[in-house]
Amino acid sequence: MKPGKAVKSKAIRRNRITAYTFLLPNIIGFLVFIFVPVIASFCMSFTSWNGFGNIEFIGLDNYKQLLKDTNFKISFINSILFMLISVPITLLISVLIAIALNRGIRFVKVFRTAVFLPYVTATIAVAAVWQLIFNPSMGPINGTLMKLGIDSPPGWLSSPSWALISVSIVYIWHSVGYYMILFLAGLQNIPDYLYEAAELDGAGPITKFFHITLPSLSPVLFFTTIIGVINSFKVFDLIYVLTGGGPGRSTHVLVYDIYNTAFKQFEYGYASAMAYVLFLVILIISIIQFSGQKKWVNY
Amino acid sequence: MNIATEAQVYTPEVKKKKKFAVGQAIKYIVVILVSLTMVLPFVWMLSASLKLETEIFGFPIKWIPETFRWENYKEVWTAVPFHIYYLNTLKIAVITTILVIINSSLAGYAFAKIKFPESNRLFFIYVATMMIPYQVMMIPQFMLMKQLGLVNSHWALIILGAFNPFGVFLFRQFFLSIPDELLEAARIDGLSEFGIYWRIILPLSKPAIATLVIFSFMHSWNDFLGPLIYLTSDHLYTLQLGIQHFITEYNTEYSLLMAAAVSAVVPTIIVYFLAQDHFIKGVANTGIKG
Amino acid sequence: MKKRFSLVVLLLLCFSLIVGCSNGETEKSSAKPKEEKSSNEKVSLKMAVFPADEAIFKQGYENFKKDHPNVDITFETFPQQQYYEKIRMQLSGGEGYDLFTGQMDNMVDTGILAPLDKYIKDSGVDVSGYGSMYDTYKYDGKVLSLPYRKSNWMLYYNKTLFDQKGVPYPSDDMTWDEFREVAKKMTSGSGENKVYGAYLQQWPQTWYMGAVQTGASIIDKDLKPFKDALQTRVDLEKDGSIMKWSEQVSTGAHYNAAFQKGNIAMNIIGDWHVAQLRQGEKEGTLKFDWDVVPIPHPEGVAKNTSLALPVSIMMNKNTKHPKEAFEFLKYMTGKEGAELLAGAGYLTGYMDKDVEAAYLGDGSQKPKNLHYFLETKEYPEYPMLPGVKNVVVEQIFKQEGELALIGQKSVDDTIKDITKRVKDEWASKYGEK
Repeated sequence: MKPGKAVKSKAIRRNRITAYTFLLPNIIGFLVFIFVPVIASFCMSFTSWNGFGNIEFIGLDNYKQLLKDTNFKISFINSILFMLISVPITLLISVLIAIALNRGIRFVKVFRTAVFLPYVTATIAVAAVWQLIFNPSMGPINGTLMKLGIDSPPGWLSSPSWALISVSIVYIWHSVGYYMILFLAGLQNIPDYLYEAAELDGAGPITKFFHITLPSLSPVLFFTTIIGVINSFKVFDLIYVLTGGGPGRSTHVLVYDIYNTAFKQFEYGYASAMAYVLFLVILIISIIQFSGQKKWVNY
Repeated sequence: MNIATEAQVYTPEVKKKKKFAVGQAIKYIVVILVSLTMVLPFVWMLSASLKLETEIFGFPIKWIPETFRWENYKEVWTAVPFHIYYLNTLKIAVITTILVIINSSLAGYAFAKIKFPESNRLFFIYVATMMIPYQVMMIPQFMLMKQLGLVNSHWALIILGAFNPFGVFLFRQFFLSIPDELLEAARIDGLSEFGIYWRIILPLSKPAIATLVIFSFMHSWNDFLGPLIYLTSDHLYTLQLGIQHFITEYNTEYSLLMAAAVSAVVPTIIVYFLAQDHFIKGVANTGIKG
Repeated sequence: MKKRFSLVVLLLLCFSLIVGCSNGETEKSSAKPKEEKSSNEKVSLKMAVFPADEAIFKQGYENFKKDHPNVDITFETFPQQQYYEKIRMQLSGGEGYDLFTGQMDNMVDTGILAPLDKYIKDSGVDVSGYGSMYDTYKYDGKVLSLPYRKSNWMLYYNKTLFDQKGVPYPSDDMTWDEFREVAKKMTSGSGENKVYGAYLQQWPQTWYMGAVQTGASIIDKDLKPFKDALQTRVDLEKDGSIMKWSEQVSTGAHYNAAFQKGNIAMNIIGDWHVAQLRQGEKEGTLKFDWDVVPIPHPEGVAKNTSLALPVSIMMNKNTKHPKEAFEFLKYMTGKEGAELLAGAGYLTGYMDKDVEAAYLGDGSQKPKNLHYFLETKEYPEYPMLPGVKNVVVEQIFKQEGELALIGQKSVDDTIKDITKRVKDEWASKYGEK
């Protein structure tokens, strides 16, 4: 018993030394440049500070203030809506595209590149192009709609009721390529014999999709759902250049609000409090996803 | 395998082929349509970049410019120090990518293949920080960089890009899928841990490396907020900042804006193309065990 | 293990707090400027300026250097849109700008602006040259900046278009209703041949200026005057005589390019547009005749009443060379600098007969009626009260006004909502006043 334990603890110690040697370059950078700022910003959320002079500790005041802040409420709802619209549609479209581009098709490299193209295009260029596409009177979308006899087509980015949807459309279009790659990867790990066996049993494409593709893809699906939710809450650049949060406050999302509060109004403490509420939301959603995974994810 | 193909032969051939052809045709049509909607804005951008300002608006869209105005590109590259922005961005993206590959693969190896007590807890902290919006950390990060004297230098951006937990996460997942038996055999052969990492793990991980190269390169290349905050002098600006500069100065000159955007996008496409084959395989192995 | 782990976390926490606070300390320790040095010693200063003004400041510095060979100044500039966030980040990080330009309301809450009263008194600056702006922009009774330019609003019109239509030129004494009628008359065509009666940039000031002209302020508790102003804009929008707000926003339209294109009859914008149009003429892109008249005014307000927004030079109270820094500040904002700036087309903060003469030039340059700029009665565009963040208030006007302009909300409701939000900002963050 005793010598065994000693050997074990010695092995642990040796492993630990090796592990930290490998971790060293990364962990120093991580602790200093990521972890410390995270903690510091958490502390800052209990203070009132504009970047100059003394940092005043004000306890939970920022968080209390958030409960009364209609601006925050609107951004919060917008962020949730944005996530609910964009994540499922993005994932659905990218799964379908990935299946279509998985095998048995010519020019696969060309098609895959086409779908991936939006993702490598700079956000500013994407925004500039979509602003013109969405242009209410001169843009091609409304031009087509009017030719089809629709007299008052939506105002897209310039209409408060359509702006969030328009931004979501651009976001979906923009990120489909990213998720397609992940799904393609998942699809390539599904062994061919599963399909062949199913075909022998006379299974059609729909049966094959629900009985083979989807279950085999579930680990990737789980992974992309989590990443998708995180990414959708973090959308900033696209909104910054597409609408600037407008019209009115219809596309004011949380991260946009955080940026505005910190860098236009210079209320660093308040902005940090907002950010930690957002962190909490993402954390809760992720925990729910993690605890639910056993039910539907096949490992 | 053989049985399957033979089975096909015995089915009524004509009917099957027809059905096959129709299905295939629909598939192609859908794929081509989707690809077109994906490429359309890009093509528009390309065409606008070669147009006269007055030609850009209006419906129906003229896809081919009346005259190709290559001057737009010339003007972009001379009106602002675009080549300097280009070199700056390239420098940041390349160094960041190299650093991120080295330190993330080392850390990923420790988390995946070395058993030590704090492994999971530490890894959880890494992953949790990914959920915190970048905006939260910006102010303290800026203060920190200021203390270190790294503000208004490319190093601030390189360092922040190099210690991205995403890379560690990616490598950890990939390494987990490499069987432990392979490592045990190498240990018995007397290979050191570093030897295993260098001689066995890394050569097997070319796809993962390619994946991270693309993600990291693109992230640095398209980053807007980082340069906005850290870079002050015009001669240090990156492309994304340079283009932003452009929008305010040439507010409505979309032709120039598009020429700038097209010029900026080329390297990311090259990197994607070069790494594409590895890319898909790399993600396959990381996605599964998530 | 757990204990040790939390200990590490705790240590890091302390470390981070130290990092956070040490910044405040360095600020204090460097707060005391060193004793004045002899005037021969080399002094280096760093100054941040607006991108558009960098050239003229460098020119001014060349002149300044002749009398002050020992003062060395380097200029830095950032994109206009991110100017304040950049400079504030820099300054709060301890970056030593001795001087910087900007609108004072964006910087005043930092507490790093050096009071200039003592320097002004000692060096005998003639403050009467700054007119009413000198007292209006005092903060807590102290002078924290001196304006080198101000942006007064004016109406620019395309003479060629008016001639073509046979419509008389806009008068210098025109109410907003009369302006609306003229705009209607000038509007015609569609598509390629569209001519707009007027262009109003997609900034909230372009609709609420009518209220400010009556002496109202955007933080008033009673915002009734703003109702008329917004109504006028909504009417113009309905008439179709201006480019629609939604159109402007979604195409990133810009007053300069729009007006220079030649299909806009009247353009209401600041004095800096003079320089832009002259530039267009020099490059040959501008192909029509143009002139200026004062902006329209509400009923019962004197003609040529405008809004002014001074752009100032501020001094960092932590500067090591306050004497030299103030020398340059004084030079650029005072008579000599003003003459240089006015000669280049800037409407300067400091005005006297000589500066006016420099501004008007020899009359060979357009616009013919430049003199209107020198005769305006001006109200400040923003209030300058301690604790009021104009950025926030302006955003409220932008967001809510936008909804009225795209027809989502009635004018009455919009003003009601603005009133409520402005009040909320005051009540929640600055205490009831």
